[in-house]
Amino acid sequence: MADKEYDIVYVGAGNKNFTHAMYATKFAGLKVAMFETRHEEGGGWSSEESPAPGFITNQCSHIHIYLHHHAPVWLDIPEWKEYGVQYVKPRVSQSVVFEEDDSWCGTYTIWEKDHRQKTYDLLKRWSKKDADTYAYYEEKWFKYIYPASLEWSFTPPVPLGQPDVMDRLIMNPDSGIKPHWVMMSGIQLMRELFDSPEVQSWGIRGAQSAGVNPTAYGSALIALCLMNTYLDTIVIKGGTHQCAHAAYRVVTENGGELYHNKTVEKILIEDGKATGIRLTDGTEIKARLGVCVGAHPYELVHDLTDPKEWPSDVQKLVKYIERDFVTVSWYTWALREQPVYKAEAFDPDIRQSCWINLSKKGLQGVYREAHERLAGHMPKREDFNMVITNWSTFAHDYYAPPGPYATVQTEQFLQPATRYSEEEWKKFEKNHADDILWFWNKYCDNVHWDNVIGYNPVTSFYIAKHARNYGPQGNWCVIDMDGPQLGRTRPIAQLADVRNFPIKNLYPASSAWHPSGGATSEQGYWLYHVTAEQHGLPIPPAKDWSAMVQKTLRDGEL
Amino acid sequence: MNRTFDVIVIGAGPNGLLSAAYLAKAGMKVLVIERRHEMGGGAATEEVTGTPTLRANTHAYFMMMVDYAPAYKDLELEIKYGLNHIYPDLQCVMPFSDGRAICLYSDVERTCKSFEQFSKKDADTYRELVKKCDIYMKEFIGPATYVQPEGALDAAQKLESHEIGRELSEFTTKNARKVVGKYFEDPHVKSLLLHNICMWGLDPNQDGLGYLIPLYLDRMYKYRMLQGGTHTLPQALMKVVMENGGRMLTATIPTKIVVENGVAKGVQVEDGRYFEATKAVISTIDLHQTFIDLIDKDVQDNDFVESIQGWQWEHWAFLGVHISLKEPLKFKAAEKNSELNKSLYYVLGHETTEDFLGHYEKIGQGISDLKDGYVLTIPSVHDPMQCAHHGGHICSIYKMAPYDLNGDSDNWIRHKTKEEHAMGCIDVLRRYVVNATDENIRNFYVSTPAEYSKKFADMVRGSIKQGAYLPLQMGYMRPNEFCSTHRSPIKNLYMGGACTYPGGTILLANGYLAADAVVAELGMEKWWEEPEIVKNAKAKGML
Repeated sequence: MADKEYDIVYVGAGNKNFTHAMYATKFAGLKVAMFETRHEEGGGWSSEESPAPGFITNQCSHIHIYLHHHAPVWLDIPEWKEYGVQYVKPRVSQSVVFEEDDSWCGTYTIWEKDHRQKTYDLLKRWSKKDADTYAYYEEKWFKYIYPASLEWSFTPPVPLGQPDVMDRLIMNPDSGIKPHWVMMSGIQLMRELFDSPEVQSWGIRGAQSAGVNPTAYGSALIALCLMNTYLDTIVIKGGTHQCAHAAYRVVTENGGELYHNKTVEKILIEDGKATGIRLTDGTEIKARLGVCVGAHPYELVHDLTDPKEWPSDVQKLVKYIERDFVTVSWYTWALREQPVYKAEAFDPDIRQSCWINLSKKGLQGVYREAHERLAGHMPKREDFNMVITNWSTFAHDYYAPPGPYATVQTEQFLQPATRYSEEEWKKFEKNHADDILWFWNKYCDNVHWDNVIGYNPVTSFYIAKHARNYGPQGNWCVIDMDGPQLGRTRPIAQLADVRNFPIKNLYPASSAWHPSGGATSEQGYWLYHVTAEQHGLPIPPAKDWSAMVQKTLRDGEL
Repeated sequence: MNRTFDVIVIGAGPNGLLSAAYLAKAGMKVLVIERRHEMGGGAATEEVTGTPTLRANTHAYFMMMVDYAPAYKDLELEIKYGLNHIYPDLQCVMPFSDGRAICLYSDVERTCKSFEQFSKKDADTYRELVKKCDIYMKEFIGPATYVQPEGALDAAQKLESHEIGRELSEFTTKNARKVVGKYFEDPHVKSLLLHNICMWGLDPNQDGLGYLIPLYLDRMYKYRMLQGGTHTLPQALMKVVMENGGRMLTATIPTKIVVENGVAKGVQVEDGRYFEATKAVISTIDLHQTFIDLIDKDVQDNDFVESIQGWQWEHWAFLGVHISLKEPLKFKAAEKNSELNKSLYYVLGHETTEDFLGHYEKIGQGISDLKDGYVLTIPSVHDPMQCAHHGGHICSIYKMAPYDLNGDSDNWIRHKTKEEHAMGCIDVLRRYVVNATDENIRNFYVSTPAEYSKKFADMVRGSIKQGAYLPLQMGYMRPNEFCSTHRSPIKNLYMGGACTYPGGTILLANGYLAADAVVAELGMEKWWEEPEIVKNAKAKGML
């Protein structure tokens, strides 16, 4: 392609860059172009018909949370939904089914009528005290914690030393948060909050599944948030890739351009300022205002730019960013019929849960799983802590062919891709399929090979190769999410303050930055604000986060 | 949100996108509604084998009519949207167990040389025959593909007034088996040509469709593939639609075409939204879904709806096996000539006409014999863009198979059965290549005939062309006299899918003609010009 010039050039068409591009084209009328090395746009917003023909899976990003993922976008860019982000609302949020007695514990989503009472009644079956405690924190969640967490996530990171919204939340005695929690682990918090092993076990699942190490000190507050985050879960019809389709349509409608199968080789830098990009085919593209880049910090510093452009401590520290922990298998199964859970006898609503964890009671399994994995061991099938998402339960004809068929995804944490060779992963993939069915069958009699039509074996190896920034470990959050790698010092303190980035006009639009990993609109949204501040561009209307939470609770949408 | 459009197109396959692109460029406000998660219909290139970034062309692969379809030039698909056809000189290889192989090249003289190994006479016959086919294509079949069909009598009259037309009419009464038997003597040549004439589903014993034989004889050495995979075609068309203000919706299931007072008014979708169409609704899906599932019975003519029940689906479908490989396949027949490892397609396991005819007959009995042959492609040896990013190749097997396996399509839909049939195909492959080893095969993805219909709702009973090619389902009768000119008995409702004239596969014709019909009915001036070939054929009185 011929050399060209734009206002903003995007390295990659992943979800962070897309959110930024929607705002840049719609609010500022900027002329933009996105360059994506994959055949399809979206990055982790990726869906394929790979378990079997007619069965759709989400290869990376799967369930979305209405406010946590996209709160301001629904308001600022309503056409995004109109152009393709249609969704359904599961009735039951995250749950745990227990191997010991086929019972389960969980919460109802805000979409369910009388959800608070139903959750209370369910938790009360384990412990009235725990049900009361949870009810107390659920109220605090919607009144204080969720609005603060949204504001924090959708606002540019504030350097340490200046109080931010989370600091204020912790200091506010009405929030229910006890300051000593800041130092504790998620597991310790669950022990402090709850008495029954069932409720403790359920309470920690959100953190565990989100990729946080719940045994790490300092993980308690994120665990508290993740205990409630799934309460406004949505399932995107036709897969999360629809978010990418719709964003593409918004960007195109506003004059933006997108090029598939175009790989960026270098970001061009002159006098400490990003001025454009060079593609592998030699084409140079100029960027008048900036370059947004959806890259891993290491890749950004050492591959996409000349490392000498960066301070020497940055050159060194990006090599040591931790990224071995958030590595999973996501197998999606095309089934002849919907799995039937033995736990349906305990309460049939388990079928309606968007996020079913299968495990033993108590916190010990989670503890052991994390430590075994840190020690470099692949989990044994006896110790699996699998999570199930029944896509076709919620949006059947958008995930499975008409008929009795079911599309179901299983998640199990694994070792990172780098631990084995490609040959070893090839063998592992088949054995892992056997192990998953063996484990799952303990909870559902009708899950076995005769019920299987096909499956899609996404492992950490697969994720590592799916897109450059996930590699080489296959970390779906790009980097781990513990301690300083979470929030305003993510990925390292020296790169976290994007307003004072070492290279001017360079904008990191990545899961590796504040606040955390996941295919949300957070980074794209706040990064647009930084871009707008620096170049005098129009900014979207200010948000009342608390009012947004209350309106969603009241009306079911913004 | 404004949900009023000039035109709503149902189905974002190549035909739907083509209609949408032409009409959006005509300044109309266009909406395309697609039920699948991805647009493109059968022009699908998907990450399905389990090897990351490795993609398979799970359905359409062969690009045909590239020399004729006006869309490439009209829509600047190559110049502006980067569509790039690859045209390998070696088009087809049919290897034999004795280590020999017969080949088709884009260069007829090279093909004749290959035929001469087996029969000098057949090589000479072939040379003369394809020369004629080339003329039939240029003078008549090519141009006729891109104009609305005429009634049988008018068309026949025009044909009969020309020598070319009279020669073509002679073919019409014959079937493929007879034509191949009449012209050729060597069993290898016969096997190759009969298979390739019938590989799009023409029944080898079907009389009355012989005019398709010259078309297929011409087509079989002029195939192209698309750089980056077949899906780059719908991607390019989509960009034309969107850049011209059109809107696309994927994962959007149409539930009703609203008809009031005999006029199509809009489309209702599953999520509750209603989209109004002030000028046209174009359905590019099959007849049944359009007129039986989506339109209320009481707003339609009963006899017309009844007549649709008689529509016949194809009696075969594809078993697809898409294999992820560490390194490209090495053919035994290529030991002396490594060029044979780089053919656009291979025909394996059909070494004699009896092999193919037997295979075809078994399909009619619901049998899918593990030993039967198929078409093989290895896109990644021609196109590095179709390799996995970290290395690795893809090959695809397309095998004709019955929809009802042993009497019931449900028999296909089991992991064990799928693996068994895939392994059958791999065993056939092992007869001809040295490295179809467990070590070289990374993994594979199987798409059975029964699953085709689960993937594409318009390919009923695995019917890849939305309906069989039968004399009464072709030409002006495809799909019937009301819809073959891309209109319908309902005002403002147009038809543009493979069930309409001229038929299935990626011709870039049906959708083009549907756009032509809309513009004609609205009395608009076309922004695009009539193709030169059509002008010439008209000037000669052939169209």
